[in-house]
Amino acid sequence: MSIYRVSTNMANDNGMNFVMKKEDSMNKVHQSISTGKKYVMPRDNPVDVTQAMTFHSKIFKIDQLERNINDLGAERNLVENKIGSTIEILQRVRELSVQGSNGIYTAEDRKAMSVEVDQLMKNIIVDANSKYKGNYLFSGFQKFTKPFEVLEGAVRGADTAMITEVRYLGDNGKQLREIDFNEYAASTPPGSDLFWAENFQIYSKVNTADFRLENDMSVMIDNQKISFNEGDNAYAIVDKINRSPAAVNASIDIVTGGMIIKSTTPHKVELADIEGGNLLQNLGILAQGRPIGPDNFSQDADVFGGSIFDTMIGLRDAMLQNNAEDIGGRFLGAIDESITNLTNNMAKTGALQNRLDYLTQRLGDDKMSYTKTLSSLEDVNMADALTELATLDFAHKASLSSLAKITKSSLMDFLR
Amino acid sequence: MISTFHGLEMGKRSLASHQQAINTTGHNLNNMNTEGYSRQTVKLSTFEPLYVPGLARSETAGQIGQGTTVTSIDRVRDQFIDNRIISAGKDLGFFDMRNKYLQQMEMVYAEPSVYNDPSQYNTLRRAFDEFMSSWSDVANNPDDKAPRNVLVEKANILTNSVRHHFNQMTDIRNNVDIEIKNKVGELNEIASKIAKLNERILKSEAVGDHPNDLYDSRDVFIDKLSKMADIQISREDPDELILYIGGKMIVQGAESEKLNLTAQADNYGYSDVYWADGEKVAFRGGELGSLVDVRDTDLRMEQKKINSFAVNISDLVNEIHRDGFGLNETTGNDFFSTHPFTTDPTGNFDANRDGADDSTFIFKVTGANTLDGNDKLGIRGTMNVNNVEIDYYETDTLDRVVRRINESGAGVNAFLNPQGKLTVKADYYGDNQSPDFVIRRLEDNGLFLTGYAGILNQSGAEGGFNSNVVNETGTKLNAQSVWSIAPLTDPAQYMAIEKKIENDVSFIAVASGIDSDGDGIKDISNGIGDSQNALRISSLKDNKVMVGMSLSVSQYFENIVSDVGARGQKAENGFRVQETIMNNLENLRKSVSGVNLDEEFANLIKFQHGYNASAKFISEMDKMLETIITKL
Repeated sequence: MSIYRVSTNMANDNGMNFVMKKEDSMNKVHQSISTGKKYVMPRDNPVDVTQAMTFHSKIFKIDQLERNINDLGAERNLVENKIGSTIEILQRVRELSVQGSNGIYTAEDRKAMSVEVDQLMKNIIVDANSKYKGNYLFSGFQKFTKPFEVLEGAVRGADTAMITEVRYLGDNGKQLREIDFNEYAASTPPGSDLFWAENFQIYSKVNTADFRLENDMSVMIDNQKISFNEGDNAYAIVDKINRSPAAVNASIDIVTGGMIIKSTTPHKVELADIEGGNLLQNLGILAQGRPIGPDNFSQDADVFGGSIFDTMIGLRDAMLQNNAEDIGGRFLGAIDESITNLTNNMAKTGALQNRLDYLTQRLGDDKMSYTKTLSSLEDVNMADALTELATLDFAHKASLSSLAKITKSSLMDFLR
Repeated sequence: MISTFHGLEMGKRSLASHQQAINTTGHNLNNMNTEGYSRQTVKLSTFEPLYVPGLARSETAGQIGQGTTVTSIDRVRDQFIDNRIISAGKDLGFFDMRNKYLQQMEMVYAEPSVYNDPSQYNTLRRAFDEFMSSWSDVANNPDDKAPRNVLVEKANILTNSVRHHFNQMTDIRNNVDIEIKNKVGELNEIASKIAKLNERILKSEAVGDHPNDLYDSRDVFIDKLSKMADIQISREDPDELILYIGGKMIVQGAESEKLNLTAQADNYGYSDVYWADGEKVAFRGGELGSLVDVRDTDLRMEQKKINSFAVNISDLVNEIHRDGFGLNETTGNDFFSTHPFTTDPTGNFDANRDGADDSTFIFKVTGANTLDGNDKLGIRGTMNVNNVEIDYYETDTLDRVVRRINESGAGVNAFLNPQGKLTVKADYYGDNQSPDFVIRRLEDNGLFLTGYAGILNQSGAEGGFNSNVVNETGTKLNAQSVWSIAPLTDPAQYMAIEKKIENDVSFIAVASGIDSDGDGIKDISNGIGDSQNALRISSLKDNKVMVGMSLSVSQYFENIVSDVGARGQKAENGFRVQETIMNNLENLRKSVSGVNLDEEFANLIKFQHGYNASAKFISEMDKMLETIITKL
């Protein structure tokens, strides 16, 4: 800018302008140093500021996931304890079965064993009805309902009242928790899974040879929705059930033509006709007029597959009746299946712990990496900032000093 | 033969001239610090010499000089620089105001995190994160009341934050409106002052004077005015200085116009600026141009964005919440309270307030038919959504067409809901032709919206849905489609949790359920231990649900903040650039018109010498006359 004539005020005003600009810059740097952060407003660097926002959100979510995992882990621990304790008790029951099946022992001995079996059953029931954080652990979604209801009464051959029936009042629900972005896991199998001994089986008596669906319908098997289309015959229905994720196997009985549904792992299967459909009811599996609800099986169908308690009651009764054959045959086999089921669940829960451990590790690493990136985006580098401050300070002093020199002398000083 | 007293007269003249010159130099020195002062110079020229050729001419050698006289007192001013400054004033004024208010707007969002203190969370983003996280906590303990209470608290923080942000924007708008009112008042006053000055200047010029100080005064006012609006100046007619704003005259010689403010009923009572003859003032820059822009465009858009967040979150959470079951096994409850635009269940509304319903305001519509996103359409045609034409072809999959609708800029969010039905939801618009969150138009010349999705009854123009026609829901929409009435204006202002839920947290629908009777609505709860509904709600955080289903909520916030930051940065840069430009121009002006102390002192000495010389000359003449009178 070439100006040949300089007015007196111009020097002064311009000088002040430059000094002000320096002071503004110094103020900004000072603010960065005091807060420790590079940017105060989004306009300072819109790109970095919004990136920082992303990382803040991610870190927040990881904190939540860690909380979820800890919660899940605590519940899982309890489940593992209960499984372990139940297995121990069942081992003892097995011993008693083996003994009871041995011809050496007398009826009196077996009667004594039956009393012990009854007592051991009561111990398992205490575990099965245990609580977590004030509500029942093993009743599926029905947390306020006690899972196993016990009925006692007179039993043939016994001197005192003993357990006559143990009923499961919960459902098949598994509570899910989010342990990773959009990934969910459940920690607690319901009582109808854990404490089940035999595969559930239902044999319908209705002949399905001419059966054809009239409209589209859906059913619910173990919380899995399976849909069928108009025109499906019995084989198509069986195929769709087998292809679904539900842990059941369907087939048609060659002789009667009735549908058979069996569970593939020991648990109590929940069957329901939903959305106003009546497929399972028409097939003779569910009772007419009871599409939903616990124990809604048709009276005409044959239902097999009981819980550990059913087995133990059977075992105990066999002991009371001195029936060594059943003790050593059917019931010993059932006790073995129960122990196997529990051991499988133990393995599952152990695997879950491994997964949780891995996730905790990985999320921790992710969080550390995000925090580092966030810091590089947001945090001010002290050394750089302090150096900048020193440079600005020097420049500031220089401009102040030169301003003073310019405005010092004028012609006035030299006039007499 | 010249007159005896010729010399004395000449000396006297010279004294007077030099005295005048010294006075003017003094005037310059005194006014060194006066704002807008231009230095004045005295133009000395020789007096009319003797003799003019004519009969009365004396027979002596001529022409004889008659000394010096002051012909004029001029101010040193470069009009070209003045004009450039007037022209640059509007840009400086524009960016100055824009920077000032955009900065306030940026601070509302309180990002980065209230100057980076992570324990503070009055940012909208943090409130939302915490709200979503509390759903996750409820999902961990579905049977427990304590996390539900925490959820209600976090929800209250969220709605409070939304309302707060909206109200802050409103406050800034109010402030801008007040500033507009003040500036218009100031503008009117300055214009009338300029007109009065024009009158006085005209009178003074008529008798041949240069009213320099009045000129300076007028120039200061014109400079002030040039910052406020985009002023053009016309100096062509020396008797009449004309100033224009946007092509219309605001000052014409001694006459000035007044600008009026009229409150606008459809803009919250904010005032628009009008000429006296009723025409709206078209500002193209200047402080007023910037203020109107910031108030009605920038701030209003921010309010719309916050509204969009409020409406969409309310709608999405409510939809999932209605599907779920509370601790007390009730279902069908909203989580956030909703306020429909009209209580008329058909969505009819009287928009022009003439007593008869004339519009249909619906927010979203879901088709009757269950579809699969991977299906190929097998039909072709063109649909019209909110006056944007969207084509579809036989080979398109449904997902493709849905994406096309979202990317078309029609201002809707289209998606397949969990039951597989096509849903079209309105978002905010850039203009004010209709309220926001109202579907303006749906039409299809083919079968997509009609037979395929089950939204409209009929193809073609006769079957098209228009929001500015009454009774459209009954006639144009498919009888099995589900639609909902548009929300009352500015949903962010009244976002709140349903009172029912605040009073009893058992109503919070954490569990999912099944539909037992086939009516499409779930009616039996899975049980207290089920948390699937809560998990669905908490997964909203990362799903892409905003802006044509292209952004997740977190990304939406980031977009808002980066947009505001970028605009702020632009305004600040613009301001600094204009400031520098103005500075340079003013330096140029000062270089020409500014007083230089040394120069004035030197002049003072110069004129002083001249004065002394004249005085000495008079003294000599006096001696000569004395010789003639006393000695001859």
